[in-house]
Amino acid sequence: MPRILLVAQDKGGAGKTLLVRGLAECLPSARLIEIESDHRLIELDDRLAFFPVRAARQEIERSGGQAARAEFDAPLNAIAAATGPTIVDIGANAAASFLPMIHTASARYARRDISFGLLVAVTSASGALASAPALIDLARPFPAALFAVANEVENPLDLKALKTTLGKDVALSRLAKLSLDQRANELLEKGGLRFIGEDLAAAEPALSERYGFSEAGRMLEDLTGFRASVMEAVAPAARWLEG
Amino acid sequence: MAREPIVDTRVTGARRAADERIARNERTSQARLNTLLRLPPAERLTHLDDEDLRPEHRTILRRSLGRHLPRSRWHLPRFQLRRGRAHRLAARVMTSLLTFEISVPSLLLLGWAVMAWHNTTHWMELTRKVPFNAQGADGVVEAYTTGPGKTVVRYGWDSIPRTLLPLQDGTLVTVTLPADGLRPLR
Repeated sequence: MPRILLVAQDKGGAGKTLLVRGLAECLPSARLIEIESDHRLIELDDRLAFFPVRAARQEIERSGGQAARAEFDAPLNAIAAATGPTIVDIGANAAASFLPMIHTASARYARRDISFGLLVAVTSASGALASAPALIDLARPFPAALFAVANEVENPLDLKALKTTLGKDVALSRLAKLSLDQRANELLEKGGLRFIGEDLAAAEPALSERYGFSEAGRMLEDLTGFRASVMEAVAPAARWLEG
Repeated sequence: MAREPIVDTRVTGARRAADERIARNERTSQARLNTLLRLPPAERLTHLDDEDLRPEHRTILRRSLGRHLPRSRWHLPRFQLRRGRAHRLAARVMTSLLTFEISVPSLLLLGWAVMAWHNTTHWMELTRKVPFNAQGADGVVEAYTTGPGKTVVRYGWDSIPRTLLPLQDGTLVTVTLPADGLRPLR
């Protein structure tokens, strides 16, 4: 019985792709579907299918989502073909069009024993706060496990108010404030969390040679801590996905 | 046999790896600190910002130098209320006190200066003849004249210049002087 976890947030920069990377780290057997304008999850190419979304936001709004519909056929087919846990990274501005299509096809998916979960990334940005409950409401008509991660890496959130806004049926977890120095952040951008988990220890001598023993040590500490925090934040959704 | 949950294993492993990394860096920093603490104080001074030290170990190194630094003989009393509401309140009280302690003595000094000026003897010279009537010790009122060229001491709290003049019988009489008939004594 394949479980599909949809990861959404229509406001860009909310850390959605980071959460997808965390989910991928939690469950290495999960396949990934990326529906984005740009291919970002490059380090996960061996388990990922990328579906570019080219429709501009203005065109999607003008046509009431029609402009994006044709582009969603391929990822909808990929979901239908899933045989195991699958993470779907829905790009910014695409979720409001994509989720109703899942709803429309939910009965047909159910006949294939496919069940859905939705994970929404929330930050203190007003757009992200407004988008989160709207996306969750779009997922409520079809049976779905609901999750939200309060991304407090940059700014804190009122978790109690957020919980009230999203609803009691949403499992809310948080990604606490973290700070990475610039070089550690560059490494994270290049290699993602997978690099930290699989290759960082082996890269320690090269990093020490390049940045000095001490700074390399701090970078390793920051990056391994960051990976663990992201994985802990998405763990409830990953457990559901694992089944 | 139940399958071990992959997610829990992975998340726990990630946290353990992070904790081990912290512990490893702490051990490295502690070893470096131990080495530096064995150096003479003058050499330790050059390692206060040693990059291999964690912040808490830098603090220990800095404190280890405290007893070796020369102490000043004189210490200004420390004002303990440095921050927060108490500090702001104390600053406000201090400002008020300073304002009071400066303004009140200044006003008193000004008053005293005016009084002193009034009480200062002003030696003047009469420039013309001044007639006046005076009652002698026998009760008889007689007409007198004085000046010009007479040196008198002007006094009075108001703008009317007056002086005391002795009569022939020794009686002192107050004589009002014309303002235009006086000049400062050279």
